[in-house]
Amino acid sequence: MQEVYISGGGMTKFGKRKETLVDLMVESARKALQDAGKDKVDALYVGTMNPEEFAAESNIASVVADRLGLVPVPATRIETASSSGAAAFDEAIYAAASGYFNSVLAIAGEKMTSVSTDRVSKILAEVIAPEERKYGATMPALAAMIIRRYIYKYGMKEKDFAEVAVKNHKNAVRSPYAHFNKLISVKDVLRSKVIADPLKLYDCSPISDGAASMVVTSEKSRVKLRGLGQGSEHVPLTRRKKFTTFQSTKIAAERAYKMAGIYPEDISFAEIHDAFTPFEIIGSEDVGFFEPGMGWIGLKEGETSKTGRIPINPSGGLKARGHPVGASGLAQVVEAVWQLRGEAEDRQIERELKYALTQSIGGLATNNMVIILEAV
Amino acid sequence: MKGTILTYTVLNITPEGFGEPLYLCVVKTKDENLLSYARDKEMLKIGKKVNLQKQGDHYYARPLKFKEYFKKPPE
Repeated sequence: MQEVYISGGGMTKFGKRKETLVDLMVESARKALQDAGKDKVDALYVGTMNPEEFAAESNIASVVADRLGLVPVPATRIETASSSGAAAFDEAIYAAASGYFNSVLAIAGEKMTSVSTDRVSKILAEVIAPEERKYGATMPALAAMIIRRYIYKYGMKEKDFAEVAVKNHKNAVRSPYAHFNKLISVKDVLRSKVIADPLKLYDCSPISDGAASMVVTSEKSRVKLRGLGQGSEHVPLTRRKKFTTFQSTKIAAERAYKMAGIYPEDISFAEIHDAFTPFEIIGSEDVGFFEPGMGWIGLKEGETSKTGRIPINPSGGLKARGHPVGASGLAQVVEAVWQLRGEAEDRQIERELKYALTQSIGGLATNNMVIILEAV
Repeated sequence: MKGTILTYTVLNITPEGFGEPLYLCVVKTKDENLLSYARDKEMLKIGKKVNLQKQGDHYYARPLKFKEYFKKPPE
């Protein structure tokens, strides 16, 4: 495998957008190409979860390639539920690392606000196993049962994991890309509507539109791919051996660290999937930053704040940046690259950064990715 | 079929066609874990021993009768 570098990143503002999904993808892709100093690539991979139902768009890879003036390059759609953005990045890496292509564009996006909240919930619930969906189980319901078990096992309280939302909103307060530029308090989180006990509205990421893009190439640049890994898990929650950890993340992280030849303590900061905020805590344990059951204590002690030992989600995470499901996994990588290059504006971590880690969850952690980047 | 509640939730925002709230739990039985409905919030406690009854396509967790309650459920 040859070395692969990240030469350009671009992102739209996340939130409720008037533009179509294709418009958003094209906007982010043009920014990434401009950042990379390129007007052509050899191939593109487009990550999106369900543009057919959310946005009535299909054949999206071809449409985006055409709009970008990239025809006749190969254009392929990638889908792994809510980790589709990370999966598109991985495919771009594999393509460039093989030597078959020199420069590859990864694009990811979702347009979710065109349909009602009820409809969004129904579409998202389609990733749940039919034998659990028939009970009316939703993504928040299954996530809530995971968190309930974690609380039982490790003694975490609702006010403890409310700190994830507070931290991530604070990190995003001046972000031009974030869905929310608003500070919130633990009290705000605890007083918000209970969706699926113990998860409240402010523990859940919002329904958002947005897109992110990245150019990867064999040509040297300031950020290098060091490791990536992917792991899967049984779709029904009831078939899992453990509820308080995600095997899919652990396998992905082990593979990524092994490829990179580094350890969790070498990582300077991370972007962790916090679609439900306690998942940031579980993710921080699964990638090895904390022992099992200790992630919430690390959060409480400020270890994951922007000035802490291992800053997590300096971008604001999915909770505050927003969660256009197909886009989030690649948006994490774009933010990580900006941090490593010292270009994250008000979100910048003020110390030397060497390695960044991103972790993306597909579905209810059924298809997860971990990516490690290095500033060179 | 007897079992033990492993985890649970009360779902207040339910999908179309389902009433709210929904009381859901995962019950560990001798052979497998099963998703089940519960009657009310009082039923929902991790470690609680329950009787699972199947009605149509769904399981329902019911309280054990007094005598049954003190029998050890399957590990």
